Amino acid sequence: MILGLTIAIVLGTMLGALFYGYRKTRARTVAEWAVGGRRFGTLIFWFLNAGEIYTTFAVLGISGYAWAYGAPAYLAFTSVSLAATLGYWLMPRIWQAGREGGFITQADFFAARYDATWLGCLVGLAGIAAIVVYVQIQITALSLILRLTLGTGVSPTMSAVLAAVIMLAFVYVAGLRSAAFAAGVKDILMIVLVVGLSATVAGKVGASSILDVFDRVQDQYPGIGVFPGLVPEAGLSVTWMMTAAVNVALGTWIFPHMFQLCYAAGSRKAIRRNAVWQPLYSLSFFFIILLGFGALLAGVSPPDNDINAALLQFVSDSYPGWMIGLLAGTACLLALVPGSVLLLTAGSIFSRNVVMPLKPDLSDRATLLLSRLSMVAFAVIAVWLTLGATASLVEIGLSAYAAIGMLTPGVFLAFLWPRANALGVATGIGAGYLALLLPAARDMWAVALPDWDIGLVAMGVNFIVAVIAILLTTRASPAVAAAA
Amino acid sequence: MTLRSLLSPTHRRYAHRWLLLIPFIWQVGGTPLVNTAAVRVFSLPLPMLWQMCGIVVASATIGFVFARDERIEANDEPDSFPEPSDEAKPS
Repeated sequence: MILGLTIAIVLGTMLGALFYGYRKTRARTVAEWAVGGRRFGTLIFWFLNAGEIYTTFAVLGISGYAWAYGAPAYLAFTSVSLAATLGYWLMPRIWQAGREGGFITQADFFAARYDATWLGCLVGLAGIAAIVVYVQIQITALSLILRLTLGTGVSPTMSAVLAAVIMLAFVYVAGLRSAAFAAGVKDILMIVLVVGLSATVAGKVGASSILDVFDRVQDQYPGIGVFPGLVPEAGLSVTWMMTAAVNVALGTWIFPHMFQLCYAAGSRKAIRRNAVWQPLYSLSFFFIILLGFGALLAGVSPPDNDINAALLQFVSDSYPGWMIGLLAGTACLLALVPGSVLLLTAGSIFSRNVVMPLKPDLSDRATLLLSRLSMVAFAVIAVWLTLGATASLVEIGLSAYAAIGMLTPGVFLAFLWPRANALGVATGIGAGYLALLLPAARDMWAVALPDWDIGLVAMGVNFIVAVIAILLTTRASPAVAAAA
Repeated sequence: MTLRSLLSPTHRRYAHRWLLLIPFIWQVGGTPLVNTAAVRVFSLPLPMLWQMCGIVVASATIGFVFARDERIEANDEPDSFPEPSDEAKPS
């Protein structure tokens, strides 16, 4: 029953997406396949955007965080609103640059703005690295669901590989357009589920109402509702919340797939209107946190104490089989939609910005083929990262934001400072990676800036070094001097 | 769009864009100020309700800025902010 319903939801959506994709048009070029032909209207654009943001990170990760830590789950409430606020200013600029330059990838933007193909190549690789970490979230979640539905007889390795295969099958169907369709299906199922679970959660845990769940959890677990939450030694303090919130906001649009999504928008107005409404959608995280607290009151104990499995375990303990099947199927889509878009983006960046500069005479057909093949490699790397890792989805998510934060200074400097040059941006990226990855540097930050989100610290180092390098390698241009 | 041009007359009329700092002040700057378990509003922990209000504040702020931008740009669309022709929907 559970398995049947899960498969029905995933296959039904895939078939629908297939039909939708074929009816629209058959993808023939990389441009058509990757940016959906630049003809997205407000509605599809909004669904696609929501599909990007309301992910496994939000639903399984945040409910698990509420269950294990409490207050640190509020990070979800800042993730969309602050990104939309910043996006209102930033996205139209990216959109306009993409339209004027005919860009397909984020690396195109860097290569053109900084007039350096090599920087495009470097940025492409950095973007792919962040994407692979982000795909790891989806693979982790998908393999968790597979184990839930197929039984724990399936090994973690096996389920991770299976998850990657399903994800690749999903993306090969029809590119971005299929993701837009699946995002629509997923959003509707998600609302049905959240309403259904939230309406019944109080009764399942012996509370009289939804708000009583909050009263009870605060009475039974003092301190759960405020920072640093239930596990103070985890370092999820007020400082962590503030720095992580800023880092997530700054990183959101810098992810290559989000950057590319800006190109795909039909108009400036569509982007702006979307930014107005999108934060309100994120109020629904209230229900995710409610369910996390409900799971805590119900005393669930997921296998291996896996934080990410708290919600799934709660539903599986307290609800009938069809509800578990519905949740499992929806959670699959939750992972598949962004996962497929992410792999698609990584593939097009690889063929365009890494291979093309080295071998410029490739035909469109060969490029498309190369793009599709490279995605298999990225999926394999993501599976490899998943194996043996036990981190919370939220932690993996923050690692992905830390990785993409390396490109943030380059994007902002591109729009704000005409003097910014390729050498300066690349130097900043190098310094940022050292600050992020060197164990000695991490030890230093832990002492000097306790509880700070490491991604924001590394981004700060990156930015400062980039500005210094730009000042050292350029002189104020005559045009700017004249304007002053 | 450069730092210098922010001071030019063209951008002075976009001064209302600075309002976009409000959501950051609320959701980031406000976090340490409301981190108390002593107050529950509608049974909810104060820091949680604070962040939820922050979401509404963010939408309201962006909506206000959007309305201002639309009014300003309705008059001088052709030169300073060329809108693409494929957007036909009224606001």
